Amino acid sequence: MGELLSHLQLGLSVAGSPVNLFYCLVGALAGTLIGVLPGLGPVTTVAMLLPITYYLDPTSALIMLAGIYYGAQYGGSTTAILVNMPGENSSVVTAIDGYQMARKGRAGAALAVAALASLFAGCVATFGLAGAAPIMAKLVLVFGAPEYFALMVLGLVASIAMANGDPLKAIAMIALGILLSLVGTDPSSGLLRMTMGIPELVDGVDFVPLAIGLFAVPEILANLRAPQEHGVLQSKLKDLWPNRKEASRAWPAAVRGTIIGSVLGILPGGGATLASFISYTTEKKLSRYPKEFGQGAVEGVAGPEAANNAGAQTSFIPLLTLGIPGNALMALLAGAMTLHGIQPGPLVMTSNPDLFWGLIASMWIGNLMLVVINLPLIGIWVSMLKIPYRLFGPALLVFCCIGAFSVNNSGFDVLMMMAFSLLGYAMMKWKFEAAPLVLAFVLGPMMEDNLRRTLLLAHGDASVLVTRPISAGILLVAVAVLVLLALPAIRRGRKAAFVEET
Amino acid sequence: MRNGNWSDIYGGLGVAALGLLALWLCLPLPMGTLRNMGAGLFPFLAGGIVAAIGVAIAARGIFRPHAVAETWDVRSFVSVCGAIALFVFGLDRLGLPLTILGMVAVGGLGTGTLSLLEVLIVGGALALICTIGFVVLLGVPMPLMGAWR
Repeated sequence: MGELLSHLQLGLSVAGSPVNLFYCLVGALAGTLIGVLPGLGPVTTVAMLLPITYYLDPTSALIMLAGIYYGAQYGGSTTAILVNMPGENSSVVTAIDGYQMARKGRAGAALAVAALASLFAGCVATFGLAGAAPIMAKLVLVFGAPEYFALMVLGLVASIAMANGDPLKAIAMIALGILLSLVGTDPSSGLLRMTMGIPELVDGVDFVPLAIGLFAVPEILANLRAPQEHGVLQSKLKDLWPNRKEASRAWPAAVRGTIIGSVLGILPGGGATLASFISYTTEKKLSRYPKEFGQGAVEGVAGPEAANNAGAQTSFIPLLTLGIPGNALMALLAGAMTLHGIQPGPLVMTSNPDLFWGLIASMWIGNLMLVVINLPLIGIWVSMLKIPYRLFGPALLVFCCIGAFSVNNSGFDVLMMMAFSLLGYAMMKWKFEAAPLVLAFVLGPMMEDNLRRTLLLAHGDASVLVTRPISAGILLVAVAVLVLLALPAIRRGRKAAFVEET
Repeated sequence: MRNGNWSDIYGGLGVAALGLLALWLCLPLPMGTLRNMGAGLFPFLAGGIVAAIGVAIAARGIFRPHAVAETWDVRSFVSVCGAIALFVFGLDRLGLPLTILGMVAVGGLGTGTLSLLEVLIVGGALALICTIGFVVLLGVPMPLMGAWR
């Protein structure tokens, strides 16, 4: 415990420095902004800003990028409640009851419940992250190459479950992501693979042009002709506090949501969106007033909002302790760390303690900032919705180009971004998802390396993967997830859960 | 034709084509043994899986209920690519501010979403913001004046 406190003290001193406070604020503001604006998600934003963080100190860079992620959870709920238009996937369920509360004149209460539940969940989950991460990092020291390989397989299988479309297409995207990650020089033999004689590909496909091309440019194109009219609810926001009855119903839901979100965030493939859905169904089942759900039940706001924020925080655990990103956004943060020469994994804690604990402490500070940013300043964010999206489109495109260019200061990367835009646009039109591809792209080289080492140590006997207990157990879970996905009843259930997202 | 999910058929074929391309590119690489994996083994496996699943998606698409694929907004896509190409080839010749103005013009007018006046306002503002933000503050090495000077 004393150790934990001294770690947190170190973290607070790093995160509390004026520079890092500034970037924390920038991240929180940017996160809220993109959370409020529909059609611009945290993944896209982080992909665009990733190369720019190269010019920052790595700690500041990660603090800012993390702030964008959890800031988007706050901002997304604002538009979900006021306009019935979730800015983020993770706020989809908040819109159901939050908007109904707003229609009944309880908009202020709904916003306050959402923000306070998020703050509570964020603080608790960050504490969990701080406590769990060192223990996890010690545990994984017994992991060898087979266990790492099995974990990555599980992570990829879980990303199929997370993809809201067709499992078969998600598997295709995973294989394609692995394939793309192998372009370039083979690290063990030095041979060139699939470079087609292009000298710029000797170092492999760069992560930033890939991510921007697949996520950002197709989103810009999709939103060009998106309808611009939002019926902003003109209710007065004078009652910014929940009354006693609302508060007493909201807090147990927030506690349950925090637990659900914290657990689901750690799981591979988990994160904010899944957590909010599960929390909503749980609240509906447990509630003494199930009929009120859909009519403005306060639990339907408190639970999912707590869950999505807790999930956003704890999804950092697999990245920071195992070096294995659990979702596409964590894959981007892994890219940001590698860009700064930091290998994500259990060693970060000992080799860069200031970065590790500074990042964690900044989440508390960021969550506090977000409550201030979101509650008193709510009017500013709502008025942002009145700016037509078509004015943002060109700006985003310019940022994309500068972002792709600035990784290596090379025009070739921008051309790669254009090529991946074509791929991304085709994928969008033919309903393939980019998130599994990006995750697999990050995991691909690590998978090959660990498989190669596994086989080398086992003298070419692949059965070690299933005879070593830990890796066998992990692979068993992966198989179970695949079987569950193939069962028709589960397929229908998933369809229902995702129907509002698509 | 009653059946046929065309997103699946087009997408599956596209994926299969990428897989086959990878297989072909990996043919000259050594496969090695399981004990000592060669450079070609893992990409060959991945390419094979991509090709096989692509074919499977397309084949399944033939038997699924009829659904046309979404139409492509070719005009917007070409305009956006044109704006990106302008950045790649124009940056050194025109300098950043003029390039940005040009990109907004190509993108905004090409997609038909901005009027000429909006192009000038948005483009001018963006040129100013990017020059200050990226070049002055962050020091991204992009020329402000092009070779035309």
